Amino acid sequence: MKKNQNFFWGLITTLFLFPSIATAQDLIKGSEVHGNTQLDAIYYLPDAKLGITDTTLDGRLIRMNGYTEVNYTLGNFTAGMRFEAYLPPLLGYDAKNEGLGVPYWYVNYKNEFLEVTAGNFYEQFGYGMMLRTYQEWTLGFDNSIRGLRVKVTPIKGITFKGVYGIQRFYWDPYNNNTRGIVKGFDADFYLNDIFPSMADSKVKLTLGGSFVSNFQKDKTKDYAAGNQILVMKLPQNVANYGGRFNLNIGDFNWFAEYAHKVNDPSSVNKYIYKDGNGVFTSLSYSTKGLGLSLMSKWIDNMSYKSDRTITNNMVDINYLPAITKEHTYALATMYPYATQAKGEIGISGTVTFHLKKNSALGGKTGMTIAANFSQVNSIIRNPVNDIDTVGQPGTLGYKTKVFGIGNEVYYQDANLEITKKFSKKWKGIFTYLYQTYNKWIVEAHALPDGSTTVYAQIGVADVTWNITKKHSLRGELQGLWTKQDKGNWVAGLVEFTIAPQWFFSVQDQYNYGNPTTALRLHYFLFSAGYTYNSTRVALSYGRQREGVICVGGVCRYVPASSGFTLTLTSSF
Amino acid sequence: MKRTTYFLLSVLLTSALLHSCTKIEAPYATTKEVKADTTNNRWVLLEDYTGMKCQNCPEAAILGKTLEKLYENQVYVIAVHAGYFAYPDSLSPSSPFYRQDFRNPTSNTWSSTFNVKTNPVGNVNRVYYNSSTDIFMQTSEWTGAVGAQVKLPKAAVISMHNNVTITGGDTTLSSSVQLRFLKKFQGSYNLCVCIVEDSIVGPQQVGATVKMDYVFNDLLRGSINGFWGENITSANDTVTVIKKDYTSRLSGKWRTNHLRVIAFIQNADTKQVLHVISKNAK
Repeated sequence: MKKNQNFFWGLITTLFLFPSIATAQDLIKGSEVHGNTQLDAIYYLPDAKLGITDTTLDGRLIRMNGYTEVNYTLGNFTAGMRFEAYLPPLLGYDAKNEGLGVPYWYVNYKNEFLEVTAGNFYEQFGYGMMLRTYQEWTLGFDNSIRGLRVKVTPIKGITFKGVYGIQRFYWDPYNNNTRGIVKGFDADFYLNDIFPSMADSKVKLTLGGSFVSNFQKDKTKDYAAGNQILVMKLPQNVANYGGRFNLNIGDFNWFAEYAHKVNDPSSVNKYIYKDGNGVFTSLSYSTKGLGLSLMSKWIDNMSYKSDRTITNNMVDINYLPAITKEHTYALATMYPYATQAKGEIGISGTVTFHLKKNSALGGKTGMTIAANFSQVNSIIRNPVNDIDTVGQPGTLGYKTKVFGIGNEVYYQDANLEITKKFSKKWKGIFTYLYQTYNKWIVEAHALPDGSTTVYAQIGVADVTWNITKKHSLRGELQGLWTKQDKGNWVAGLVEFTIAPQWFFSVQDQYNYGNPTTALRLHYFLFSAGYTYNSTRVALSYGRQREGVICVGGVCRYVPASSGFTLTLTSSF
Repeated sequence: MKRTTYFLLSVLLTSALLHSCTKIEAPYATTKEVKADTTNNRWVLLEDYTGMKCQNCPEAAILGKTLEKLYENQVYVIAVHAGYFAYPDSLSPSSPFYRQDFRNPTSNTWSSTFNVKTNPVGNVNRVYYNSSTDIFMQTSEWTGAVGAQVKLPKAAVISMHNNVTITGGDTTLSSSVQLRFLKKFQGSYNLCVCIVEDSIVGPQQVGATVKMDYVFNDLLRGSINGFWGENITSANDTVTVIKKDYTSRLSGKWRTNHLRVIAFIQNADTKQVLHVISKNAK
C-alpha cells in the first residue's frame, strides 16, 4: 500500500511541478520511451555433496530477481520508474529484498541553467567519498536517494548541486526518522571554461568541493560494556566534507580528493568518536603504445551511512574507491578484495605496453603486455591514552598517523597479462597472478586451521580460434595453487559461438586439492544463449561454487548451489 | 564580477551547511545506574541467534550475559543455534572442528519462520525496536531494546516448579507452570516451555581463531509443548489462575544438572512475548 502511495505522490508531484503536462494535448508526439529489463531465475536442486537438501531449500525451489525500468522523455522533461521483484530473492541476496513494487521513480526537468529532479535519483560528488548513490544489480545494491535534487549551471564551467532526501533501505517505508535525512551541496569549477584566458591552455584544471550532512533524531544510546551501561551522546547531524582537483596537462592527468568526516559513532566502528579521513589520488599518463597509471588511498574510519545501526552494504552515503584490479576469469575471482571502510592504506600501479607489429618483440601481429600491482595494508592504530584500549566504545577509539602503514597485509595482487594475436584466426590472452588474501579481514572468516591469510598463484590461458567469420571457438585453461583454504583448483572452458546470435559453452572448476577428500568436487556448468537484437536469453545448468563477488570494492557472498539458471536481458 | 559572486555564494552556502554538523565533546558517554525491578516490571526474553562458526557471536553472548547480570532475574537469554553458522561439519566437512550439532527442530523452526539469515542477531521480547518491519537487530541495539522492555509494567505473574526423575535408563522432566494475567488482554496467547542447557564445552570461532574449549550457555535444546507453545487464553480475566503440567523425556546426552526450563507467554499471532520465567530443571 505504501509503495502505491509513493508512486501516487510521485505522479502528483509531476503534475504539480510541471502543470503543462496535465493539459498537454499530445503526450506522444516528439516523445521517446526507452527502457531495459532483466530477469534472473534459478531452479535450485538438492545437491548432497554441496550440503544442499530439501530441508535447506525449504520448498523455495524457484527464485527470481527481476526488474524493468522505463524512461519517458518529452522535450526538457523526463520521467521514469523501475519495477522490481524478488520472489523470493536468489540465494546470496539479502532475504529482506523479498517483495515487489516500484522502489524507484522520478520526474526531471532540465534546461541550460537548471535541472530539477523529484523522486529517486543517483548522484555522485567528485569521486564519491562524500556522496555517491548508485545501483549495482549483481550485488543487490541500491542506495538511491528519494527526495529533491537541484543542479544549477549559472555560467559555463560552474555547476552547483544540492540534494535532500532519504535513502532506500530494501522495501522499508520511511516514517518518524527510521533512518537519516541526507542533505548535500557540491560545487564544481572548471577553470578553463570560467576564465577565457585559460580556454586554449594545455593545462586544464577543475576544482570542486562538497558538504554532506546526515540527520538522525536520536541524541543518546545505551550500550552495555563490561558490567555497566554507557549512555553515549550521539551527534544528530554527522557531516562529511572535502575538496578535490583534477589537473590535466597533455598526456598527464592527476586527480586527488580529500574527505573529512566529523564524529560518527556507529555499529560499524563500534561507537567510537574519532573523526574520519579519506584521501584518494590517481595519476595517469598515456601515449601511443604506453599507458601508466598510479593510484593510492588512505582510509580512516570512513564508513558513512544514513542509519548508524546498519552494518551491511545498505544506506551507504559515500563510496570509498577501489584500487585493486577486478579480474574476470573464474579462478582469478576466487579471492577478490573488498574495501575496508574502517581503515586501510593502499597503492596500485599499472603499466600497459603495446608492442608494434613487425617489431622484435611484437612479431608480425604485435603484442600487448599489461603489468599490475596493488597492495592494501592496515592503518596504524595506537591507544588514545593509557586507560582505554584501541577501539573501545564510548571513546575516541584510537590515534593514527596520516599515511602510516600498518603491519597487517589485507591484500596484494601482482599480475601480468599478455595479449597476442598469432594470426588472423588465432588469438590468445595469457595471465599470471600472485595474490595474498587476508580472508579474516575481507570475509570475516578465518581459515579452517585458524590462520587468516591465503597465498595463491593463478595461471590462465585463453585462446580463441576464429574458424570462420561467423564461427569461433574459445578455450580457457586455468589453475590456482595454494596451500591454504580449499587448496588447489583447475578449471577449463570451451565456448562455441555462432555470431551474432548463438553461444554454447561447457565449463568445469575442479577443487582437486581440497584437504578434505569428500570436498574434492567438480563444478560443471553447461550454458547456451541466444541474442536477438538487444535481447539476450541464456540458460545454464550446473553447480555454482561458494564465493564472494565484488564490484568496485563492494562485495556480496554467493553460496554454493546447483540447478538451472535462466537469464533474460533486453533494452528498448 | 559574476564569477566572483557565484564563487562567494557557494562559499557562503557551504558555511551555512557547516552548521549541519554536531560536534560531541568528551566525555562521550556517562554511566547509567541500572536497577532491575522484578516486582512491578516485565520480565524480558532476549533471543540470541547464533552459531559455532560465527566469529562475532561470542561477543554477542557476552553482551547477553552482561544484560542478564545487569537486570538480574528480569532478563533471560535463549541462544538459538540455527542456520548457516550452526551447520556442523559432520554433514559438510568444510573444516575439521565443528562436529556438534546444536540445532534442533525448535531452533530451525523459529529461525526459518523469522527468516534469520545472519548471525549474530537477536530480538527482545520479539517486539519491534527502532524498526517497523523487523524484530531482529544487531547487537548494538540490544541494550536499548532491553532497556525499553524492562521499564514496561508487568502484564502477568508466572511461577514454575520442575523435577527430574531417572527411572532405569529414562530421564523425565516434570514441569508445572502457573500464571495469571494482570490485565485483561486482547488476542490469543500461548505458553511456550523450552529447555536450555548451560556450560557445554566445544569449539567456537572467536574472532580469527577457533577456541576449542569455548563454553556455550543458554543453549536452546527444544520446546516441550510445541514450537509455539499451547494456547492459554480460555478466560479473558485477571482472576483465573492457569495451570499447566508437562512431562517429557529428556535426551540422555543432556546433563540434567545444567538444564534450565524457560517458560514464556507469547501472543499466538504476533509472537510478541509478554512475560518469561527461568528455573533450573532440578
